[in-house]
Amino acid sequence: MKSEPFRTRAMRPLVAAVICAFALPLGGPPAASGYQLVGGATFRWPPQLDAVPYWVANRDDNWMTVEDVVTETRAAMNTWDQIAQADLTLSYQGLTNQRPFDFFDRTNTVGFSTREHLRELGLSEATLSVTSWLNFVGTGHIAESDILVNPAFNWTDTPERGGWDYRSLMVHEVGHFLGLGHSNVGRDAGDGLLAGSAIMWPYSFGSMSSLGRTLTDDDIAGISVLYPGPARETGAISGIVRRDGVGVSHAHVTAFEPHAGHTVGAWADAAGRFELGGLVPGRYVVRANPIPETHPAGAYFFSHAVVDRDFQVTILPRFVVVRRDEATEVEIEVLP
Amino acid sequence: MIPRRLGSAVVALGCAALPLFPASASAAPAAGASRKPIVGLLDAARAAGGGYAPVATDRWGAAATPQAQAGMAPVFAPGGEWARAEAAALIGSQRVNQDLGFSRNIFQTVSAEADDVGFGEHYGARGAVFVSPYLGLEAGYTRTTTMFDIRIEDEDAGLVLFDEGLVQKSNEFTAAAVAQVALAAVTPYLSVGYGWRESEVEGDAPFRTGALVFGAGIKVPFPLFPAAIAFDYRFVRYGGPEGPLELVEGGTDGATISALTLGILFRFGERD
Repeated sequence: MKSEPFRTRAMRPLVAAVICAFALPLGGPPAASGYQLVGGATFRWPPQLDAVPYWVANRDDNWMTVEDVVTETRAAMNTWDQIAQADLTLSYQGLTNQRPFDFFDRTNTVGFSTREHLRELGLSEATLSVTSWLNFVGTGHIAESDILVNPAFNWTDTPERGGWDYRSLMVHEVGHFLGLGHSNVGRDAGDGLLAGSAIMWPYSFGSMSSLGRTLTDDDIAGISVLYPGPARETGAISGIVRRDGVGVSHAHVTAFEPHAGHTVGAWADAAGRFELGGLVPGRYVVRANPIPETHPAGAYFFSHAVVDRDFQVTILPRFVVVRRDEATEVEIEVLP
Repeated sequence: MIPRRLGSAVVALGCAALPLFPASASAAPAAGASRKPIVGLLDAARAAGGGYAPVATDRWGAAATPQAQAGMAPVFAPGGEWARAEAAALIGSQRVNQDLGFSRNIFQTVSAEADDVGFGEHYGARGAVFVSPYLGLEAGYTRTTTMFDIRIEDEDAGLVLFDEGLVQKSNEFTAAAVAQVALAAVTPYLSVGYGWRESEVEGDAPFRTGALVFGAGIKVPFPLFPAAIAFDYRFVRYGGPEGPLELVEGGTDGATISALTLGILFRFGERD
């Protein structure tokens, strides 16, 4: 059996890289965003595109045949494609001899590359995979995107027998491929990420786990913000997180609807304002928390921003009612 | 001439300490007389300036003979009273057993439980029609405000109790059969019927549920007025989680409610 270069299960980072073609309007999530979006609500595939095409790199891995890679990649793409709340179509185009991260090739390539290629790109060997984008300067829409998978890990389509689940990884990366950033709806129990954590949490569920194959409400809310579908019957919670009357920069806010078991997170902007979109109507417990101490701010898409962690986890001591097509305004005062 | 009803009330009060016999028995044909003549004699005695003379009766409360009525003492007269119709306004409280269970995500556990309903948060009205001294039909309406306490146990923030719980407003309609025994001083009764409840919690659509309602109580008449105080107990178990009862997934299957009310009851119609 091939030895793993890295043995720790937890905290294996999933990286998304942005390659700027001309200029990239990244400034963290805009005030009105729900989920963390890489570059705001326009950083998505153009709405006039009927289907987003993708190809799979024609390269076997030491652990998976290219046929397995195609099957698992398509399954991961379909996981997002089938969300009723989102207006989104992903279309498999076949195999390609292009490598992932060969930019400006007009091919959205997904799959393995070589370890040498990773080194050329300056990526750490601890990285499981990376997603890149090119985007149109004028509109912000995504023009091209690739997903590169690190071949140094023992990937598998049957994680229960050991190894890292390729499909779980791919579901996460496809979230980036579509324009989503990272979520903070997750909890690391020390020996792995708890079930119920968002797929877009910045670290993997670990090897021998297929938990990352299933989208959570948080992920679905995020994609429905970017690609709103006709079946979307949702409301929102908007407001501000304050400490001593001053907005808390990039606080994380979650809303939990106990009846449906629906949990959705959002990030505040630099002024502490947030909007949790894509919420099914109901009654929510609202919670504000800082980024965990163990997470570098760089694990999230707060480029050049100061992330305020100096506050306690705070719960609004009342339910917040969300109605369809309405935004309920709240203020959360946190303690240092 | 004092009003008949007033007179009877006074007599009934005077007999409160005597052994209590079924009121209907006082009108039993076997006694050979109805209660009307007794009242008439009392009125006659009062008109003669003698006030209320003690009246001899047989064990059914009816006069044995007109002669004996004039000079013999005590006993109760009409026993307890009953009326063809009653209407009551009531107010009270409820003991509520309604645990909504809990729901959890990766951060916290949310649980909820109903508070007991305080005095004044449960009120309404009832009306009844009696087809005999023993049996009647009742219809009622009550409105109840129930508070649900919310409790959050968060992995990081610890225990959080909500400042504001959920408020549920309910309208309850009941129809019941009533069986009573109109004794001299009080009228105990039992009831069984069906209750329909429509409830609404802010933010939710109203929902309806129904259940058998069991009741018991005592009516204590006023001495000088065709009215009574009613002490009433009702027990109901609403089944099946639905609507706001499902607020938290995994909640128990229904609510058990014990309601105590105090009512003022007005009586209409001639007694037999």
